[in-house]
Amino acid sequence: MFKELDPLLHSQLRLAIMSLLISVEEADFVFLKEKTKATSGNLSVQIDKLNEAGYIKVTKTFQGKMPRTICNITSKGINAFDTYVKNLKTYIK
Amino acid sequence: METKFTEQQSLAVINEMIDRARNNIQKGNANSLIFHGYTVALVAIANFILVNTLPDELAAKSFNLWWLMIFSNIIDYFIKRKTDRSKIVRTQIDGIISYIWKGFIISISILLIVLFAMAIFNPYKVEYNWIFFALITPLIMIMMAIAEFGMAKACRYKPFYLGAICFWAGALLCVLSYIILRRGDLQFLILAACMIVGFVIPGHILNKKAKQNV
Repeated sequence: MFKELDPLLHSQLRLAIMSLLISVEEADFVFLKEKTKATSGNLSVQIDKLNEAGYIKVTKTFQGKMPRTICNITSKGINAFDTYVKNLKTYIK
Repeated sequence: METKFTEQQSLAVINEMIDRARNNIQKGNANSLIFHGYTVALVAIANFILVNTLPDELAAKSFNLWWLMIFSNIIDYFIKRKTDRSKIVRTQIDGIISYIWKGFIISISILLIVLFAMAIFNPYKVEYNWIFFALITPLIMIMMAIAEFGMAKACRYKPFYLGAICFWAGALLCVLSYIILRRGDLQFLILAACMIVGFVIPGHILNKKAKQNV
């Protein structure tokens, strides 16, 4: 029986962001941009969506005069990612 | 516009991203290691020169050079703080490595307190108390080897394994130089060589790798 995949995670860029954040403690916007090869605008929109859903926590700080965006995955995000992967396996089998 | 993608593509994205995050080596990761490698090697060489050139009554005082390590640790704290601030990602491995070295510093401090206390306050056979001082370098090298061995496993970086082996071998050489050659000053040269081979060289290789990674 196929289980429904979380529509918020079943998007290439949002899934890439979550996969990166699940393997690190925290990551800067620059790091996510480098690894996903997404445009700043698109990445920013997808980060906002994940943040609104409570899957990630976004902290905005300053490094000198430069603004800095740091993201880290929340426990709700870990659970959602875990469920997504489990449900995904039902499609692969 | 978001493009729909299949379950297989979804799994591929997960695997690829996790792999990219895990194999991430950042520029400046090894700065602290290189800095400690050079400073300890320089102090050890300076100590060796002073022990062999100063008159006997002053030679014993040359060991005070090692107080410089307190300053080098303060400088290192600022290097680390600067590196941490500019880091664009913090992995769990970073946390593990940081804890390994914090544990190492605590262990070294306790070890020095124990050895000095035993040497100074030992109520029995005071004429053999030098043995406690002779053990300082080999024991520190053994602890460095343990820390570097743990770091090698955490980073999955081979030169750190070789560095750890170098420190273990160095500790044995220190003891052998005492027993066979009856020379304690050679410990400093062995320590300096081990710092270069165990810390500086792997550190430079790691930083070079990080530059290529960017």
